Amino acid sequence: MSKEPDFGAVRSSADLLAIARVMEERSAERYREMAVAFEVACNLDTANAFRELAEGEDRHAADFPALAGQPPRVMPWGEEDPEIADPDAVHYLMHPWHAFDLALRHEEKALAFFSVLATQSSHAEVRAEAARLAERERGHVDHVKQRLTELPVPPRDWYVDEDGPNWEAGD
Amino acid sequence: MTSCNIPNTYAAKDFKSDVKPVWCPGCGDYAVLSSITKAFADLGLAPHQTSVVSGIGCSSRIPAYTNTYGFHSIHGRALAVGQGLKLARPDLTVLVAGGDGDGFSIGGNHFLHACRRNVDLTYIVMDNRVYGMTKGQPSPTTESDWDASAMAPPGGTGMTPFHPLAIALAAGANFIARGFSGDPNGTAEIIAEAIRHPGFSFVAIMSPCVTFREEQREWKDTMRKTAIEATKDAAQAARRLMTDDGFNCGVLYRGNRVSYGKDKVVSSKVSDLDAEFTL
Ligand SMILES: Cc1ncc(C[n+]2csc(CCOP(=O)(O)OP(=O)(O)O)c2C)c(N)n1
Ligand code: SF4
Repeated sequence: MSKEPDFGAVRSSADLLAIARVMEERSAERYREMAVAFEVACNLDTANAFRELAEGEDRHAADFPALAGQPPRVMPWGEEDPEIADPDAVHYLMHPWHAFDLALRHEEKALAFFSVLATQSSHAEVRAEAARLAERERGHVDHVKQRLTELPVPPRDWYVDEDGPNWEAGD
Repeated sequence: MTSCNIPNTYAAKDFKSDVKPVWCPGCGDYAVLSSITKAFADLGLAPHQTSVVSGIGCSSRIPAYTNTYGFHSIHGRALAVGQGLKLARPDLTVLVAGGDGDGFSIGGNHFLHACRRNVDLTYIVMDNRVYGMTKGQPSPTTESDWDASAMAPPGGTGMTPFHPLAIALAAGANFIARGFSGDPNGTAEIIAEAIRHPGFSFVAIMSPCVTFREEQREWKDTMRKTAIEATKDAAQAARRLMTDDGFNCGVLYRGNRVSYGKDKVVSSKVSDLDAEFTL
């Protein structure tokens, strides 16, 4: 159900900065939602990992203060916001390492998004701003990679739940 | 709530309660909850004019997460409760919700007769083709050869899956549609239209169970918005269903049957109620 990206929607450097800010804000919101869901699921280590990621995105969003105006009505990524994790890309037994691995994929997608704009936009101003933003995203990618090296790699059977069926549920 | 502090308009968040869903992280039902609350807000409804009634299952926990009147009833009986509520309180918008197990296994008979009876309510089934709450048994919509769960017989049940839209049409539902949790805005539009449409409106929402049916994450690549306009001709709708692969989203059928009980005069006087039971 995805729509094709529309890179023509970004016409100026102000547009691009506003978009970059929205990306970080929405990503922070999604990680926060996941942190709550994992708390309720009693997987507190992963909940904390998502909270750390949300706080990181909050800091990234704060990099674009008053400079960023209103985002354009049409977002250039169609229905696939590169920085935002799919709500179903998680599992209730996943480990903090998986959370950062998920974040890495989205930081890489965001890097690819700005890199494409940096070469393909028809507006020189947008190309220059996108190149700066791509550089910034490279820093985020490196940071998440570093965090991954610090976290224990999950065992192969991390998703196995030993609990049996719950025939009486809801009675 | 008194009339002096009821705001004129409500946002989707006003229809959400403060209770945090206990659904697994990633469950499709989170997005269905958002679509329902968005539909209520888009229709200009108020929480005190709205009710959500359910049966039992993960999906059926939804009344707890809404800030409307609600009834988390018993397994398979949500439609019985919802129809009773609508007949007693025709002024309320009644939305009945649950899962494919609740609605088509234990509640299958209620489903058939609710379609026939055509009470003015909206029935949402969050279809994940599995019993999520009891940890992975096949449901009536499960593929006949699905045996990826330890709770399924080897080789699958061998039973032909139930086609909810075809059965709803054959049994007389007045509005039939399919939505997808991965398209929350499109699904909210469908729900709003279902509520607006008189009579029994049935909306099947494909909502992945990421825990017991991991492969349903791929639905986001297979579900599509149908390019075909809805029809009010039941025979044409039936022909379309012959070639439906289960991945078309949108409104299939808008009928024009008169709702059951529409002309019933409802009185809240105990003496009038008494009179109804006089032999
Ligand atoms: C009378 C009765 N029989 C069986 C059960 C056990 N039970 C609870 S939920 C459920 C099925 C739920 O499946 P579904 O409606 O598809 O909802 P999901 O959990 O997948 O959202 C069953 C069989 C019960 N609660 N009551
Ligand atoms: S078991 Fe499946 S249906 Fe139930 S909450 Fe988890 S993901 Fe959702």
